[in-house]
Amino acid sequence: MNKIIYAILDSQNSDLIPKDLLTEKTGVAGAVLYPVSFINISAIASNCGSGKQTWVKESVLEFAGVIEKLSEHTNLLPVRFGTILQSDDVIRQLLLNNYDDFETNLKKVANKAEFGLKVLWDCEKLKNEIKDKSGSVEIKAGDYFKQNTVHTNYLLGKMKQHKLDDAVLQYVEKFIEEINNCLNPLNPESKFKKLVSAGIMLDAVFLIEKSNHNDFKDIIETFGQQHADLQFLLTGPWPPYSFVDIHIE
Amino acid sequence: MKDNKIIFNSTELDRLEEAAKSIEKTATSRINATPDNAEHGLAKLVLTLIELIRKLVEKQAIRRVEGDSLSEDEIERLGETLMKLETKMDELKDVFNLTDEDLNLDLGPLGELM
Repeated sequence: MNKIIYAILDSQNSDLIPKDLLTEKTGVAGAVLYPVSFINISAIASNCGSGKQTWVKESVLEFAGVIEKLSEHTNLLPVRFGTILQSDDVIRQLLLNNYDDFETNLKKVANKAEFGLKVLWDCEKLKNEIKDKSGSVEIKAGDYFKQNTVHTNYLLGKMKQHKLDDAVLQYVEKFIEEINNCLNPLNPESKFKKLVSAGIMLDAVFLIEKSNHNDFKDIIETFGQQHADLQFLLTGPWPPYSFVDIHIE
Repeated sequence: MKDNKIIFNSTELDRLEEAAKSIEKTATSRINATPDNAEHGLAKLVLTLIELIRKLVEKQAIRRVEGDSLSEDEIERLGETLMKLETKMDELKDVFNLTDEDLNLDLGPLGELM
């Protein structure tokens, strides 16, 4: 019987998990959850069929639901959806082979939670504002070439477009610097994805100490009010999905 | 997403939906080749790579123009070449019924190709 793994956690903290949580909460397709332990760490697993699995959207939601429920009670490392091993012995071997990595990462995320911040923008409006405000995107053909042909005009258009793209990128980088400065007192670990799409300027994640959650929220709210031209969506607390990067052996 | 996970929201619902759709489009813009659409899937893969190279060439060419290292004739030829490359790409996209979004690539920390 194959096993789905949901999360790796510190068994020493497993007392923090209510005794009936693993019996009340079920895994993917209603399977019973149980821990597989090695020294002081455990993997939370459930049985799944031995053949080829057919996943549906609900499977992903059930999987994420288990991780989120557990993370409300203890520090954990979320495991990627679809991680399936052949038996409990193989899971124990996994814990043994990666023990140091798991320990290090569990310490790194201890008493912390992830928050997501999406910053929405009107890209075209911002580009127009940059064009109006700054002369830095203005280029004159004569600065670079003397000929005035259809080909040099094409090149000039491309150069203007690149200058504008650079100016937009600088705007986003300055914005990130401002956020980092505001959050400096909380010293969070963070990751930023710039210019995600035409609608999303920034997709950021932060790893925040549990004791700082309220301060973090207040800082982002204030920051959002100072940037009324942008729209903010702050979500969390989440399990540390974006801050655990272990390539298991 | 559970409502209780939203801590602070200054967005309008329609903007949020639009943004979510744009992410979904990027997430689904992978090569989906099956026996029935192998040609289309392959065209998408090849054109995506060509577009990536074309963008890199364009960037490098602009750097050289800005660096003042090209003669007037070289600049003229460069403009003509880049223009023809873009026109040819547009033709190929039309042939295979592909849009700019179809050829988008998530380049990680560098952002997206398009």
